[in-house]
Amino acid sequence: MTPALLWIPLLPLAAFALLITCGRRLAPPVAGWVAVAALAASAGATLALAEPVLRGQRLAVRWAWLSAGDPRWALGLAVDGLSWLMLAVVTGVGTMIACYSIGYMRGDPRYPRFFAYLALFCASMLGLVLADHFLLLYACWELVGLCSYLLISFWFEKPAAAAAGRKAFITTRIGDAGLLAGILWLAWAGGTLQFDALAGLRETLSHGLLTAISLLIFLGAVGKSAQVPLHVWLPDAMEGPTPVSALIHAATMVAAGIYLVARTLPLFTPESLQVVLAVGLLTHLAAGTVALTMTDIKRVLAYSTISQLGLMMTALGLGAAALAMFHLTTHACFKALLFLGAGSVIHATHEQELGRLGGLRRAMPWTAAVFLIAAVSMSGVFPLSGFWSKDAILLAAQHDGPPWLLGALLAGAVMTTAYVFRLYLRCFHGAPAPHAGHESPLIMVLPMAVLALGAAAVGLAGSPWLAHPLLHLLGLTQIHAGIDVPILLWSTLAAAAGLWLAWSVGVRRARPLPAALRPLGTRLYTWAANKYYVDEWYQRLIIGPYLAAARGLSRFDLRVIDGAVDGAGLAGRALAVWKERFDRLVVDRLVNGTASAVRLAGAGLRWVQTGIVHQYLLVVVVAVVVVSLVLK
Amino acid sequence: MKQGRGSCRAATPPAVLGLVGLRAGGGVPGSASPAEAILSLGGLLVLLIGAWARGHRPALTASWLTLAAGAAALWSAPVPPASSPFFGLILCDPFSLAFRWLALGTLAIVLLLASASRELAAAVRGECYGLLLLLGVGLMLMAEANHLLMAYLAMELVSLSSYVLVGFLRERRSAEAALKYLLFGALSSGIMLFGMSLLFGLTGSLAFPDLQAAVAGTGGPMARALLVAAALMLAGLAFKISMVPFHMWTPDVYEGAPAAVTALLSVGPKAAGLALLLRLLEALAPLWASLSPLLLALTVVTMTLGNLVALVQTNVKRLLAYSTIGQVGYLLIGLAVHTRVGHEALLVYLVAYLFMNLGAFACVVAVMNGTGSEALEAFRGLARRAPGLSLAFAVFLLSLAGIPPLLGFVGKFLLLGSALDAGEVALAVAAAVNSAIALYYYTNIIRLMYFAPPAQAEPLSPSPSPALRLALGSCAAATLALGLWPGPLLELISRLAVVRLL
Repeated sequence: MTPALLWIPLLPLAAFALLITCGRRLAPPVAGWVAVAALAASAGATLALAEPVLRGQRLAVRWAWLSAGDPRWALGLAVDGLSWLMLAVVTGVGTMIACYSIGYMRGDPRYPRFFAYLALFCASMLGLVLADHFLLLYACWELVGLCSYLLISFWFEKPAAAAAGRKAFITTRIGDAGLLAGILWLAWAGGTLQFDALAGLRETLSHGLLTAISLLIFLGAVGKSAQVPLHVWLPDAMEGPTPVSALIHAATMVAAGIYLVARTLPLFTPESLQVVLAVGLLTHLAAGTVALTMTDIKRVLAYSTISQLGLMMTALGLGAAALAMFHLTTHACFKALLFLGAGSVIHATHEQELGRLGGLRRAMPWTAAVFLIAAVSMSGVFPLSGFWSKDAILLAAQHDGPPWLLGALLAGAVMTTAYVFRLYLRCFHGAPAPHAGHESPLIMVLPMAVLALGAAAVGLAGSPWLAHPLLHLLGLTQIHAGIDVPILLWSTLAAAAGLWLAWSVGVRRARPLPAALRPLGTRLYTWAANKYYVDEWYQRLIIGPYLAAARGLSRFDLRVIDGAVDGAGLAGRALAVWKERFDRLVVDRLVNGTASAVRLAGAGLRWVQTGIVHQYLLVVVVAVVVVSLVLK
Repeated sequence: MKQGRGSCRAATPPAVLGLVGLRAGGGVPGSASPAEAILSLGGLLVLLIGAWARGHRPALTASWLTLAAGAAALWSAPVPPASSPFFGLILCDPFSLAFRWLALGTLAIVLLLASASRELAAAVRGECYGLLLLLGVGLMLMAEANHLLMAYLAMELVSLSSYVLVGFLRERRSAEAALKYLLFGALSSGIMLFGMSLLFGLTGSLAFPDLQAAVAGTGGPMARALLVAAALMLAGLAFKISMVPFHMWTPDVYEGAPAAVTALLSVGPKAAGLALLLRLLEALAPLWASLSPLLLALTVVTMTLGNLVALVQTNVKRLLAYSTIGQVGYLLIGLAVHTRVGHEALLVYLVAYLFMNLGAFACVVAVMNGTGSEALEAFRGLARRAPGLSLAFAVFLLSLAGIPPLLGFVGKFLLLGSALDAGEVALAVAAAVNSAIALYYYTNIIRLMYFAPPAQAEPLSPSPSPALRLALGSCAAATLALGLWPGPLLELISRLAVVRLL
């Protein structure tokens, strides 16, 4: 089974190597199909591993890296239930998105390069998921960051895209620095970076140390998974091609943070879990309100992703890694589908402002249908995928969380339904907009149809109807049997409330607030519509002072340090010139005569020969005599 | 008359053998040296083929067959912990085995370069291949020598073959280089012979193990004479490894010799010379306290001079000559610290040096084939004319400069570590400062290749031949792969490790 394990990340990597080196020689669709084939083969290899993994086996392959007597530096790949599920999500959703991109990216001048990056993105994510060692995980983690930079700023001719790529890279680097510090601290204190040894560290390390290390690791996840306060890069990342957004939001980039916390959950103490819970919940609610006010299709979806990631972090904060991963899986399906649907709309109308869209249902029936399925699934309507995963989290919140947590999550559910249906209704219903859309080609519709199937049915794998195979796979043993009817009613009620809000406020522009509260409502709306001014605060409090300091330091560098370094360099060079001159003028002339003079005046050769013998004798003999005298 | 220990045991002790410390009956030339025998015979055969056959292909084929047979023989020969065949003249132990493989590897890559080099195309190349093989025998024997007589013979075999090879081009420059080399070499070996005879007079033996015992027992005024003998012999070896102040031939000879031969000279004799120096110093171990300050000082001077003068060179072969002097300075660290860690680091760095320096010379050969020039200016804008070649050259140069994750970094890291381990902080600091200086001229070439506009825009032609590609590719792959996964190499070398040199 281990060969299959190695093939999973290596195939997309090979596709990347092929496309980056000779992609330009391939005809455009061929380059796309190479990436699709590699990802599909990886998906096949993942499926081939399903049988032993479902039986609870842990497959591993390890090799020694710098094994000079230290077993810590043996790296390896391993698959257990958790990573297998991630593999399935990445390869499955990745294949669909790559397939869709064949149509979406048609005619782009850097077509092969796009698929090369896409393959590398998936390869690094697969490596990250398969790593059984922090070091390998970190390497892949950085590769994922690099690929996100390359893909977000893929259309780097647009200044906004280039800036967004930079912002994503730099913002996530802040988290990465925390993760690296956590890893180094762990290596220093715990003596191992092996994932299967993490549980053992719980006994050996002190409580405070574990809290600190786990919070540093969580910082990495906050950056990658776009949690407050490092969420600012994700909405800007919409500047990339839409399939990239789908990939980042569903399968590769943001999932890495959730996976990291789920993987290292044994290190998290109750205190650090409190932090995870608080950050997750804050992100869930704040991003939900912002999503309600956005008018750009992709930005609504971006904030919706942040909000859903917050929900997953909340589940992780409750210690329910399996439920977070379950929601990640269903979310991957419906969020990828929502993005691909949005991409389909943008592809057809070249418009992504909600105000200028509408009534596309007739022109794009397939897109409208799959979008609706994704929206319903995301709203958590029984019995689609989103319902099962969200309900499981609500149930866990009711049992393990503080009493108000269920209420907060239900409020979040209302917002979820409200913003996704506001989006759906304003895009596909109402008066037709001036842009006459047309249905996308089959190569784009087909992957969406497959994902729609997933968005509808994947959740059943974690439902009581099929006896929770997915949750067993993730190692969860105590599961609520059957459907909890009160929670079902509550969440249905929340969905209905959200739908009503979307219809009345989002579409009909009704004003449900009493007149006395309206100024407050307007103010709240303005805040949310301006994303709570987070970017502005960062600009004023961090970036501005930072740039000022950098300018000052640069001036210092230019005047003081450069002067010193240049001086030292000039001195060194002068010394070298002098030595060379000595070697050339004194030694060479002594020993050889000038070689050029020899070449010019062939007659002088005989003279030089005698000179050489004489001078050689002199220098070598003098050296030997000096050495003999020096020795004592 | 003092007799060697071995001769007492032998049934019929030939007195003359005992005189010089040979162990009569000390071993049968059976399993120990078939590789050397094959290479010698093959070398002679190739010389004949080169003289009679038309074109260089038959000789080249015969050379490769010889090399393969030699490698097979070396591979299949059992390696006992130590055996001394040929009356104790040579010592086959794991230490010498490592150097024999290094010699074979050098030979293989240089053979690729020589067959692909355009400047050698007009010469009688069959003869060149035969001489290369004989030179290889000399290198292997140098590493195996356990007796001053053998050491001297092996060194002369190497020297004589190199004199001819250096003067192989029908150019005045090449002839002049050969002559300089010959004169310098003759003087050095004369001085070395003088040292040997002095040593023989003082100790009554030429075999390393006997020398060690005899040196340990010598005291009083004779100890002073021993030091003089050691200094004289050191001079001969210092010439071979281009150690300052016996380095002056290096730039001139490197510049004049064909590039493929320069490649060989910059690696093969350096490795074998260091091996011999290690053994000789072990034989003179009782004098170590007196020799070590001198060696430390010369190590620092060697690397500093080599690197500083390399800064202002404009000819790439001359630049690499000074770079070689600098690299020898690094290598000498492993010798000067005189610890097991140092010896291991020396071996690792030699492996690294083999790949990166031969690779760099392969690039020089490729550029010379394409442009006919060996000036640094020929590398201007090369990245646009030959991207693959430029990338490979950049890898080799960065590895020479000791940048991770390349193999040169691993070697240099270990060498610096061994210096710190031995408490020689000043030595480590000097080496680190030197690395910084060296980075300047190595990256200067990379800057020329990548950031300077090319004089001509069209691709380099002819593009590297398959033989050259093979040499470049294998060196680059080894530099990169072993740099990323040094584990197996380190393990292998620590197993070969130099437990006992005599």
